[in-house]
Amino acid sequence: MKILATAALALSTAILPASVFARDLTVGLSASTTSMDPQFYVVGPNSAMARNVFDGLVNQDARQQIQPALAESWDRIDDTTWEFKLRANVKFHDGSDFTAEDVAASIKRVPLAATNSPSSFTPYVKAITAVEAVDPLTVRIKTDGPTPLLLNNLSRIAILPAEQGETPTEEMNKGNGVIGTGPFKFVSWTPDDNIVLARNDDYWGEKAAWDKVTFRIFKNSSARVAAILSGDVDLIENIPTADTRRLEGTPSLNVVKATGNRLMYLHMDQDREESPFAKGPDGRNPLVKKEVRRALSLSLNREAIVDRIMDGQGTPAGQVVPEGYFGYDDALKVEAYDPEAAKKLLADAGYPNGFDLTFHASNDRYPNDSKVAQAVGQFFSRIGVNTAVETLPGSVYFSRASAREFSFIMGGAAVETGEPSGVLGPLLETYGPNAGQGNRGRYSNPEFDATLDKARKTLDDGERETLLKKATEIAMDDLGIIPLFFLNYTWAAKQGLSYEGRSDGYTLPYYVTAQ
Amino acid sequence: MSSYLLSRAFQAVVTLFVMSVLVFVGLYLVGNPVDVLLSPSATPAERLEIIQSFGLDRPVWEQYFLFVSRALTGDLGNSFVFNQPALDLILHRMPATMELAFTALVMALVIGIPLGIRAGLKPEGLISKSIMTFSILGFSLPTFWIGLIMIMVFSVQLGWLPASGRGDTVSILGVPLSFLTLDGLSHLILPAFNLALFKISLVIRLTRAGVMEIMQLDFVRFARAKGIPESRILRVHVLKNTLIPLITVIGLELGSLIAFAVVTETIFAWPGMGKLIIDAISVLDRPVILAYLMITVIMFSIINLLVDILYSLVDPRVRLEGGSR
Repeated sequence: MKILATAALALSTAILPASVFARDLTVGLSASTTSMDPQFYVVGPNSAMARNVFDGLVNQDARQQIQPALAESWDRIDDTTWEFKLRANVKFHDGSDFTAEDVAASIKRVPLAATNSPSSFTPYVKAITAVEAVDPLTVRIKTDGPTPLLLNNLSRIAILPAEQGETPTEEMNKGNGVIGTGPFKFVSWTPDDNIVLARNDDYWGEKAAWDKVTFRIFKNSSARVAAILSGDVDLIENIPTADTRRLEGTPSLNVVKATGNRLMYLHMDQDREESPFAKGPDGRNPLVKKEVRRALSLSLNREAIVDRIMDGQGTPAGQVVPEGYFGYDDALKVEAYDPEAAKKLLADAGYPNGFDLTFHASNDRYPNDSKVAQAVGQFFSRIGVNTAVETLPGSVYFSRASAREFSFIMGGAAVETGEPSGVLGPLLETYGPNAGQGNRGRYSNPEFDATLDKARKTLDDGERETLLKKATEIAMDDLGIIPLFFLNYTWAAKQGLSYEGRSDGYTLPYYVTAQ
Repeated sequence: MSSYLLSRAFQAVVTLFVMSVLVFVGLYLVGNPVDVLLSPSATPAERLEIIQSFGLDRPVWEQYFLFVSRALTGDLGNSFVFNQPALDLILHRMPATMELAFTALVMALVIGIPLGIRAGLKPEGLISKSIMTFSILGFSLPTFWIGLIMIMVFSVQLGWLPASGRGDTVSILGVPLSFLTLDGLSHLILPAFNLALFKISLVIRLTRAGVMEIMQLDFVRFARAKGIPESRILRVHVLKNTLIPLITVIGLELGSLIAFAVVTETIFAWPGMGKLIIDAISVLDRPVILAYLMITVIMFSIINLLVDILYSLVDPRVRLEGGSR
């Protein structure tokens, strides 16, 4: 067995060269990293992989709260100027020193890396107007207005050496210039197959416990489970819900769970008087009425959905962020299951005999998405809404949903910013050229928009949190979306290995420890 | 012969053209890749920008025209998610798929032909009946299920073979091959057998039918009457004649082995082309889908041609002629 007790190893490495006890870790990932350029494509698997090799000025911790990384501390000089004190004696993997110039070059590189990107990092730096290196360990960032989420945004920008400021994505994909300050160095990448990293012995924090880490890609969940059961890999992510209980009962494995940041929600057409798949007896769209939306929300037994359909791998939701997050509102409870009240509300709204609804959902994008959709449809039918459920592959579903061909849909949104505005904005803000990209129901409430907008410009954390809670309350009272539950993220490790689960679902070997 | 080759090449080009139009229009109708790829926090303005940068805002005929004019220079476009030439991505993975497919083919022949002959010579025997039952199972059980069972038995329970991935490779003429290393071979056995199972059954049945038919023919009886040993009759007279239909079918099956190894590759996490296409379809990575299908068409055309040539070698009565057939 390659894994030794930590104490024994600490003792032995003091006497013998580390290579005598080469400790390797093999990780089975569920999705493929598509590029070695950490600034190319905003997508979970790429961001997770980048965290192993690169640091940001700040990093997000396991609960997505901001932690110092390459910046040790920061101060706001005025509403639009931030000053960061950089960590001293940090070295890049090529041996060069990390300085303020590298920060400036890395931020400047973002638009270059956006070339051909299907989803670029430019939104995270668009507020930044200037990056000044005051001295080698001080950097000043100016923004075009008060930007309270600047730290969140910066946590997503990988810092590269200034010499790589002009390196295009193509070169990085060949392995040239994949140089960061992170706990692991890049060794090799075979797209869609494996990624190999080696420990960075000059890491500024505590050194990683692993000499070499090999990531292998198992898209098929049965194959992933088989790989850990057979011992091909030491750790896997995303256990299929149906297998979670079985793996928990396997003595040779250690299952880790964490409440995830992905909210599963229902979205409905709220601005069209006539909607293609929601028709009352008069042919009009019942979903525009708040009471109808409330009735639908009351009809759902979220506990049962999580327990039975998700095999316990979720947490019922009554708002857009999970408990413990900035902006979580204690006052907002998960809607209690009350089909009688739902029926009454429906009758009061003018639909004593229900209405016709076709509910559309994806069937290959979220864990058990089509099963959850079926269950939701059943709950609606119980209060008299004549519901048909239609599930489609994501490749077809999302385009059609964006084109508003549906009336009632299910989606999943990740709280990437660690606070509510990252979900409230895209899903609920009034749709327009610069807002509400994911607002497929076209919910619109000026009061909500104003509150959210104010929150976005408020730098004081206490005041901002109050505003975000208020905005959440408005949206939840209107039921602009109906929250269902937060997905759990799961990992299975070989006995003797432990991993602190993360709410962003990232699998980071740096935090995998041998017990 | 050369006019024959020319006409076959022409057919292949026409097929490629028709296929590319169908796939292009089909993909266009399925949906907009940007809706799948874009981060949900991007604004509508940013969405529009990306649609324009990929040229997805242009009419379909214009997009197709651009695609064809680039394809003629050998550029099938960059993958949306990898930002690498789609053709490179696929060609890099081709050796893995080819190796898997050829190993499966060899297995099918090495296992299938002897079993088929045995079953054909003594059709009523217990062994022959067992062979035929095996072949029915091989035909009817779904590949993915057998694959999972094989993993559970040989990797998880017995721990004899690795469950997934490709083992160590050695480079021969720049092509990475894994069957030359012990580690590589151990990784190859399960997926190759899984892929071969259906073909083994097919080969058994074809061989058996061939042997049974030929054993009844006059020239076999005559050979027997002449006192030629049974083993020689089998080797020289029966087997050679059985091979003719076998070559045709196996040739076509090789194409399908390569193109549709998808299921096996997915279950065994085999880094071949099939896995790539599945991902590409799920995120509508058009350049990769198109490039993959173009390569498949070309491959099928080449294999068919080779089969025809091989056929004429085994059976001298067959002549290759020009013109369409």
